[in-house]
Amino acid sequence: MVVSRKTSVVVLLVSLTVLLLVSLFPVKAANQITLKVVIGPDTEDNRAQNLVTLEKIKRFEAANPGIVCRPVPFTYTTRQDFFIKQASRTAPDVLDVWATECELLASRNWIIPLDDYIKTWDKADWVIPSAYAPFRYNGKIYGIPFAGYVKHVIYNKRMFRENGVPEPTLDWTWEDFLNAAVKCTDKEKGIAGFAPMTKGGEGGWALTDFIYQAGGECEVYENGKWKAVFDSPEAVTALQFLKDLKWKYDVLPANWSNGWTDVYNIFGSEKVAMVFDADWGRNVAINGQGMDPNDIGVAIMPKGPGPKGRHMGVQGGNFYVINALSTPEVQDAAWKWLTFELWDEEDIKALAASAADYRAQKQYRAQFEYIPLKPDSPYIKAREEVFAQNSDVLLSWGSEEFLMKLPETAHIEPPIEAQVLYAQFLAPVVQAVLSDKNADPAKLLKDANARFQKEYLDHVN
Amino acid sequence: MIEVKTRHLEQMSIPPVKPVGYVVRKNFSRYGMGLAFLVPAFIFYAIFQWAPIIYNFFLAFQNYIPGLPAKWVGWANFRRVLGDSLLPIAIKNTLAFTGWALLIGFVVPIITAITITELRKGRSFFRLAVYMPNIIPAIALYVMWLYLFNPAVGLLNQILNFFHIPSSEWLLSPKTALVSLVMMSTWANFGSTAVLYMASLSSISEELYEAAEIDGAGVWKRIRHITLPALKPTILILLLMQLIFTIQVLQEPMVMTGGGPNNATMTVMYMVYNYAFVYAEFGKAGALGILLFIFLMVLSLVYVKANKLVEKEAR
Repeated sequence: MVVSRKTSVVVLLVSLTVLLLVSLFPVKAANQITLKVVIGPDTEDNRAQNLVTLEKIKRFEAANPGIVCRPVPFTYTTRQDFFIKQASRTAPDVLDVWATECELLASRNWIIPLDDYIKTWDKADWVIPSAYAPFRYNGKIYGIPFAGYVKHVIYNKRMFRENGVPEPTLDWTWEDFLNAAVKCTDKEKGIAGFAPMTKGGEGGWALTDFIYQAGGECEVYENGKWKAVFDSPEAVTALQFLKDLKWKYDVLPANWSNGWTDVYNIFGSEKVAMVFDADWGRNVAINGQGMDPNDIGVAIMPKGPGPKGRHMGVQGGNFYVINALSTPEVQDAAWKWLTFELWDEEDIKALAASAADYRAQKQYRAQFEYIPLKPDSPYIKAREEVFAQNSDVLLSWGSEEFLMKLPETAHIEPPIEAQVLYAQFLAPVVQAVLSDKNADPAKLLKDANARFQKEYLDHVN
Repeated sequence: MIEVKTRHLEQMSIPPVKPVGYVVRKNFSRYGMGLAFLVPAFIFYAIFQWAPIIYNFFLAFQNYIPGLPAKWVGWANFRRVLGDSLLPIAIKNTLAFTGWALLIGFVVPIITAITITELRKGRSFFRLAVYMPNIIPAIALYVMWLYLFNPAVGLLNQILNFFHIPSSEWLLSPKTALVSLVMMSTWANFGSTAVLYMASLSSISEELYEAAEIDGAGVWKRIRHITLPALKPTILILLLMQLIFTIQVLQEPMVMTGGGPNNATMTVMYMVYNYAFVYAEFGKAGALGILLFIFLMVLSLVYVKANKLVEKEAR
């Protein structure tokens, strides 16, 4: 049989089209749900953790027939990756995100409220109710907290000892903090008493700690409207204090323009006595710079001056959220994945197994973690046992009194446009007072406050 | 004779209509290969350059949330962008950066190219030397300059102190941060521009210089009457390109200063970036992008037009 050239071309084109369509729309088994779950990017330092995730996927699929997990390499380290993945509908169905992200994600309908799921969750009672606060939006809960922090001071014990500075107590004040910074500063040797974050959004984030300590706030909800209040006398006191640390007492590093990583590198290289830390900063100093963990002490934030002064640090952490772009069936599967093995025996086993890896690599599990569960929950007790058995590599931080007091010093981040507030409005005023001896903190804050109100909060109200 | 006549008649007659397939095949055999070479570039530019530019015009009038249907919002994005208190600061910084970059970065490559060309010995070495900064990876370059700018231990302050000049705060002071970035940017990029000028210089006939030397022209006269006029077309086009390039400055302030201190290095493009990829306000990013696009387009058209006038006058 002779096939004409025209027929051959048509057959070829049809075959190619079918092939393309099949590759674009793979045939799924009936009722099969594909769940996109997060896995770390395939790098050397993620390899061990990724293997743990892949094992968990196998167990999850075995326990939930009909759900197939597709690992998506992803971390919420920069927002842009998430934006791009949402646009192309390739973002994971379950994500872990920062505590500041609630308003951004919920107001744009990118995540779903979890209240109905929480009602049926057997571990719901374990969670400290206040831990949900950063992810409450319009009266609903949008995220499950799984690792939290309350910012506090980490200090170099050896430098304190050598300079005759007493260890911070649970009632220490700005005055004590300043005395410690002054005594530890040695400009000849390039050593500073305190290194604040000042660069990028971190600069604003760091200033809010001082504002809260002085008794101030950034945003308040009054008469049904959001109001910017970081031009209060307390906030001015906070900014003035930061300014004095530079110009009056000269206890900051000569190069004061530092971001998150810079600050902990300086601390790890023992060029500064004190820094504020949330959770992972000391990991940079210990595993990155080789600082001896025994030289690091922790203290709650110092109390600000005046009747409104208080011990206070930013409360943050990470939350699990479910992608609103997923179908309802996938969202149900996502909740199953989110709660699968969370805070149970497998989790504890994995933690115990990781101790051997840290020993083999001569590193430490150094981060500070504030598990948002009630102290009597079974997970907390089991976890404490594993930490006690492997205390050479799994580091615990602070005395019992410190750990009891720390939650009382927690202050949630501004609910509306926190990252904008930090980067665009507060960081510049920090930089202004540190770069200009004659800068007027009251004027700078008044101006920034008015602009933030007009350009952002008024649009929300 | 008869034969010739017949042929002539054949030529005069209406040519037979050629089949479409024949025309396509003929044109394809003539232009096909050339067009095929253009296709990848065309597709690349269409997808990654032209389509985003066109799409941006729509984006500027929409409230776009990635993954969800966009909503038309009219001029709202433009109103919010123009009402942003940071915009006047960013415009001022961008123009200042462009001005400084042209003042330093425009003249330096020309002087360098002419100087190297005038050298009798070591020309190849200096050509290589001036191009070296261009091959340093950007991140390495920024880290290196962060050390150089360090007010306590940085090399630049060590040099100043050696000459008993007081230290500078460089990136830490709003007064010096922008100029410091221009210095770094000029150092990093002037080599590639200088190479273009040197290529242009090599096309100038040696005979012109020899004739000028015979006529007793010194170095300055040779530069003024031969080199600079010959370089003029290159200078004009590179000036425009540098203008467009520097007005879109983003990388340097983003990596080196984060726009600080106190917004002293915040630029228009950095605002566009922040709107889109930090604050998820893509409509505002689109609106500001369009405004910048229109400004650059008008500037370029005026510049090109002005240069055509100059050429006409020269004729």
